[in-house]
Amino acid sequence: MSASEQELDLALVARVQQGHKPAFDLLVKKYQSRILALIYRFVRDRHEAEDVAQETFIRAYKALVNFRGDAAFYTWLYRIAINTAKNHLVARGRRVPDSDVDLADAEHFDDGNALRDNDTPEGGALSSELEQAVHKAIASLPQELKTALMLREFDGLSYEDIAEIMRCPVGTVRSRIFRAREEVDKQISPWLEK
Amino acid sequence: MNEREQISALVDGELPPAERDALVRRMEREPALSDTWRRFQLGHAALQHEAPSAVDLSARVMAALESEPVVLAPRALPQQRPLWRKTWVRATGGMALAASLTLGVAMVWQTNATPNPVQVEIGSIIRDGSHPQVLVAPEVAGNDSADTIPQVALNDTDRESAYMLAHAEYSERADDGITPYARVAGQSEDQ
Repeated sequence: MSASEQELDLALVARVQQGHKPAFDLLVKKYQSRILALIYRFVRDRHEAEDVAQETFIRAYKALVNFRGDAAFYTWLYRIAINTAKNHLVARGRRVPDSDVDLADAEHFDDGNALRDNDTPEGGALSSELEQAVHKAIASLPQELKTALMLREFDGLSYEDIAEIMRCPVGTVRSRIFRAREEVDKQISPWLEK
Repeated sequence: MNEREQISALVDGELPPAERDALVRRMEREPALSDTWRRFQLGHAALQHEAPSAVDLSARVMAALESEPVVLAPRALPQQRPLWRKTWVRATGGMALAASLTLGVAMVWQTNATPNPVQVEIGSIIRDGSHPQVLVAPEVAGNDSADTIPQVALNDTDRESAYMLAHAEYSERADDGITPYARVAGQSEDQ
């Protein structure tokens, strides 16, 4: 996760702490996929995972006033999610996985390695379909849009670096990445409305 | 640059702070913009193999937050030692209490001793076997009446009090001054 992304998280957190509740909605929208997938690894049931994820976000909201930014927001949220999932299992007399999921995952995530997991709340099917749709959409993009998006998403380069590589202004890079995202969005719309 | 393009840049953390903050405020107010934010995040999650989920929890979460009276917990303050725990406060407090008590005892003594004061030296307490003994000097000079000489004015309780006061500084809780003893003595009196 880049420093600027963390800055955005902190800005949103500050808004919530100032009493702007809708800013929390933006944080939920940003992290819900990751949190849902993480919790699913514990509970192994889609509907349960949704309930526990919801509880995670509610707990996070209530505790957000004490968040001081010592750790990245996602690391903090990740810990709440793990604790909530474990509590959920214990309350139902179910076994808590020993070492399947660890806080170390969150630390790795902060180091730039995304949480990768094929176990999804949809049991892999829908998530996999979504991913396939996204990759299909990218494959069909004009070359300059595809290159700009891939340099950003896969290589994590800044707009400035991409501009240098593609020998174009930063504004053009921003526009190309945006147009690529619009195409991807069109392709995944059918799955979002299921 | 339209709002959607701005949101795309925001996903990448590429908006200047002022622009970012203005856009965040708009997204908070306009559901269409926040939905674009969600969809772009979903595409981003798919490209990062972050197990994208089509389920939108945000509506459920925000509805739950609206329906229950959420009281944000107060910000935790850094732990501070109570004033009475500070060493210098304890030391001076203890000394002040001891001085006040000594003064009080002395005044009571003077009042009781008039007109035939008996010189009692509280510090001259020694052990006689296992029992403390108070040495009382039978000074009778200038007495108007020998009947008023309080040679046996110190009963057992008084002796114990004098002993405890004199030895308080050697107790385990000497830092607390005579407070523990005063507390116990006060309870005994209540009983």
